[in-house]
Amino acid sequence: MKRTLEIVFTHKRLLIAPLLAALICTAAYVALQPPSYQSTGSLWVNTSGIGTQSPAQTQADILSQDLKTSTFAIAVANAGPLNAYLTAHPGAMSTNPIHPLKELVTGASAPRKPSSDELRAYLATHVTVATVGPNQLTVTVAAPTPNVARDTANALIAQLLASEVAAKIAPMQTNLALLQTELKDQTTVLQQAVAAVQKYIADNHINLAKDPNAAASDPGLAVLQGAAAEAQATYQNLLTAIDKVKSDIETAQQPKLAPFRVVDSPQLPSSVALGKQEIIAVAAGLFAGLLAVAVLVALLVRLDTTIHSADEVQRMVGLPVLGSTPQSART
Amino acid sequence: MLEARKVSKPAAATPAWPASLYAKPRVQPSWEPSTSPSPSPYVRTPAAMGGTLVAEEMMEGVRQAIQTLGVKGLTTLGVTSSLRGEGRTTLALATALVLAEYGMETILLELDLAHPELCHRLGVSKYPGLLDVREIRQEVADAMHPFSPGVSIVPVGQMQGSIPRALSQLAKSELLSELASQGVAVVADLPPLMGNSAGRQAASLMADLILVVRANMVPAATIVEAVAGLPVTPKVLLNGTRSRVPGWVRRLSGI
Repeated sequence: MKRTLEIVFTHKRLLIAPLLAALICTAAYVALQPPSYQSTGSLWVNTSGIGTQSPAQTQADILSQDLKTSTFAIAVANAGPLNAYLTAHPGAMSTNPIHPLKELVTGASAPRKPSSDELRAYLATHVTVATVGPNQLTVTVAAPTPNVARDTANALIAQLLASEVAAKIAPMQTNLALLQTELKDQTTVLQQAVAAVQKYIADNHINLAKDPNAAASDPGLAVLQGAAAEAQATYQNLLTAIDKVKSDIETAQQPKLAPFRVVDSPQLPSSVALGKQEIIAVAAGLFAGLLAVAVLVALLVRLDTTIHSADEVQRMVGLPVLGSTPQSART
Repeated sequence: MLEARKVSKPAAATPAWPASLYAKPRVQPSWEPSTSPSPSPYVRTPAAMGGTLVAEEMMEGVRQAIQTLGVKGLTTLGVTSSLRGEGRTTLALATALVLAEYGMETILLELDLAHPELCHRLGVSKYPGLLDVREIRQEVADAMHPFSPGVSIVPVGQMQGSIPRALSQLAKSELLSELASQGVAVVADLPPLMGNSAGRQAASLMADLILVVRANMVPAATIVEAVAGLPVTPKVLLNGTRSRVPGWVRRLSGI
């Protein structure tokens, strides 16, 4: 232990060097990264949770799932400024840690439209969803500029709301479409029934104006008129059902029935935030530096065969010891 | 023919520099036979020459080492090391000064013929020196340069021919044994043992050897290799053992 400590403090500059180098590299890496601004919005979830999950947790899970879909990502990127920004700065989408250094050397990448996968990956790494209570959650968007951060956060919340409403009214719309198809079919049925009655009347020279009760004396006419009346009733029922579904859809789209409301809108961030990637880089740099120091200490202890104290002379060299002088002297 | 000039007694000597530059008063060891009444201080160079040559704590370490070694019967004491830069010359000077504290007339002999630097460091004239005594038949006394009370420096002098030849001639001359017979303690600043044969050759002229080992510098294997085959088993004086571990770490780790 004593010997190890002596070796460590004898070579302290050598040992500090890798730690310092790692920290300098980390600092350089962090400095080269594009600035990251964070804008956060708070949401109050009105709906109930699923199972044992709180409403906020349920909503957070839904948002996390949405973020994994390209459709959602494209909608958010197009609704906000993200798509335009990433088109102008394709380097911002790179996940390569040394990409900023590469851009520094070779110049910025040429503008190009981001793919849906790139948008999805970008949002997945730059959006953080966190619950802060049973009904409250926060959505944080990190972006290279304050405006992109705020506007993307707003677009994200708006898109989340839209997709939630869409999810809610989707069964109704399906039902509406079904009813409208049925109505279309029923219209044909009704038209055919009416046509059959008219044809029967024409064929049998029946004048319903003169003889309104002709159906009572003509069973054939009675059957056809009954069928036409039934088709008419079905048609009316379908119209009523369609109106109800349309009404339900309109109700579901009302803001007061939205699954959540925005408590705090995303604001324009005023200062640069230390991103997750930077924090990981700092931690990794520190760890790498400490690891290098540990390896170096192990090597130094293993390779050092010099004498550090008087008691080591007899043990390592086998010579008698007269004494020792603490002050170092050189010829 | 060879006669060692007696160095002035400390009480009678005119100090080469003001007494205020003399440091610690002499500690009189209880066992030593000296009757020297006045302190035989270790030396500091004048301020104009750059300050302290031998620090007090180094002197203290050498005092303890000489106490362990014992001064009775001490005639020729070589101070060597495995490699250069281990503090050999400084500790040779300290040893000479400590022996002078015991009241012994001490000659500090420069035998590092390849790299003589003792005189340069102490501001002592390089000539005449030991080799001049042999070459031009001068008296030894002429080559002795008083340095401090009880201590004289004998420099290398003008070397003509090879180092092994000069050392061989010194061995044949019996100069060292003559000095010893006159009760003078000879402390020699020897060349390092590794590198060439001069170190071993010079070490073989000495009755006792101190091997300076600079802590945290020379591998143990090098030391073993350096002392292998020496006629005298050297005794180690470890130099620079001050711990590099800060006090708070020592307290925490309990070492």
